[in-house]
Amino acid sequence: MAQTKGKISSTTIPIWFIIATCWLLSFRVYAKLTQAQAPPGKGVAWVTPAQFEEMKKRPSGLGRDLVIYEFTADWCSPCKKRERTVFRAPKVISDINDNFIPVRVDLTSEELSNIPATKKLTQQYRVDSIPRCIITLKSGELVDDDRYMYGDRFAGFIERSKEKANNVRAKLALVKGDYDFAIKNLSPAILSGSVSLDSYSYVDYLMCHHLLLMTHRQAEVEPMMKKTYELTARASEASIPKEPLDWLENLNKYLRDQISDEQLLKTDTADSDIAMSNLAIGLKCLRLGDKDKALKALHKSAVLSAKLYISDSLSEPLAHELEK
Amino acid sequence: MQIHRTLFNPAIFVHTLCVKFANPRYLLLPILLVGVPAFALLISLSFSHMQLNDEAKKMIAKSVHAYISQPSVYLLLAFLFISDAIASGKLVAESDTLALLFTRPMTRFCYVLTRYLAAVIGTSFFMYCAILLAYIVALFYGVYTIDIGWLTVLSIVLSAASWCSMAIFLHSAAPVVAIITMFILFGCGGMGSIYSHAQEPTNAFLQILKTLILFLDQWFGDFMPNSIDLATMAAASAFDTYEFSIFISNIAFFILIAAFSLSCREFSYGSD
Repeated sequence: MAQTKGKISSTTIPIWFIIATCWLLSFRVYAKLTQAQAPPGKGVAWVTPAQFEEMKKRPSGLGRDLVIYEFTADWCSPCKKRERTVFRAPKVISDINDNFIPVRVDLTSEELSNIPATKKLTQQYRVDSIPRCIITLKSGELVDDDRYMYGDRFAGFIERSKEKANNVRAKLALVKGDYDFAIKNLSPAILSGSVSLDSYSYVDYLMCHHLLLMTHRQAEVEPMMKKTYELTARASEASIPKEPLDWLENLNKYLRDQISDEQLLKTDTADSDIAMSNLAIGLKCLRLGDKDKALKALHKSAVLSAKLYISDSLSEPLAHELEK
Repeated sequence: MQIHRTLFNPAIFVHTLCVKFANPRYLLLPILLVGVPAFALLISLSFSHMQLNDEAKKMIAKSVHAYISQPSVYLLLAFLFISDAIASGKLVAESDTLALLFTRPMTRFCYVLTRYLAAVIGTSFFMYCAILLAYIVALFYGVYTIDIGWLTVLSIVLSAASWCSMAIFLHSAAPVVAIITMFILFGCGGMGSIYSHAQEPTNAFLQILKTLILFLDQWFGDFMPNSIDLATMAAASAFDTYEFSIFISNIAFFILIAAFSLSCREFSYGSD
């Protein structure tokens, strides 16, 4: 079909176009084969789960406090896309290399998925689909979880997870009874009530309230609660469908000692709300020194959360600590 | 007849873009497609089941952008320009194709390229009109969130370029060849994505099948036109060279096989 010198027929296809198309197709194959490889020394310094296990055993320790797990496979095209776009950005690369221990968990084949270190991670974090990115403390506590973040949103996810890690550290300290350390880890925005409750969880709100009381900062409690309520109400107005504020109102009444435990529980219908109310009751009982009642409420909260496949990462360890 | 070496034929360009729409009733379908997002926006903003605040209005208006990334709309518009079916009132409309091919001193590659360019321009024009109309409707409700800037224009042109390349191949190849090719390409991508989410096979046969299908998906699954969302691409942390190479090579590949298929086809005066 290619044109011959001097003579041209109606079926002629220009040779330059055929060459250009072949070149583009070859480049496509090259791009496909190299898409998962960052230039040497310029990418994220990933380690395998087995190498990570080895690192844990070193006397010098792990160095950084946060771990980022990227669950991926060769046949997973969204995973490849993340590799090409997200993990090639200089900001993301430096952020991950400086603050995290990056662990790439390869699930390409059954053989790789069955490596003990890999299997342990997929079971521990219930990884049932990929791509999946999980951020934890080096001690294993879950900080944040992401499935389909691309582009600039991933950089934001990394940034937010560093803040969330502080809340997780605060929870751990609270469980151990180290309230001063716990409150130091909470962000000033949460402590002053400058964030609405759709930006962070009710657990953190309850923890913040509890820590302010336990560290004798009663004067800050009411302004924090008021400001948080106002901001949440404003955010709720903008959202579709509107978030119910009645539950927060009831919770605040309970925290202000205006209603009893029974009255608080009576208003809840959803399991998640009952779990949260039990956590509030458990924390209040802890403050009052009623350990038996606190243990009962925290147990109930942990069981209900587990039923919903969520973990508030506070009620269960607190109950466990009380049982000890 | 002396065949010209040119890549562009003005007569075919004008025919593809406007002559066949000389009768206004042939414009009815494209105009309906242009009006869809504006009409949907009007209905959503006027007859909402709840009181809409500014944020909600903005969110509804923004959803109009989903329309300009719909492959089906691009394909339909591209088909209206590339095929003569609507204007000639025939299902298999080759009358004009044949007339143009046999009466002009040009290569079939030139025919393919000119029709393709005209289709890209026409499809982009109608898609941009659609978003512009939606923008005007949104303005009446005091919403300014619909982006009609250069990034949207470029996204529309690139998406049109991508889907028109497939439409020109479907038009140029013999119907059976075109259908089988598309069936295989869609199949590779579709089966591959199903298997990507499937659990580990329980026996050796299923394992082999999975490996085979994932191989086909990996190497041939992306031989489908893809829309480019420049807004997302521009916001991404790093430029996606691979996706761009797929996009460009798909266009070139479809134009090449369209020209090749048309060159292989035998046309005779009796076929009309």
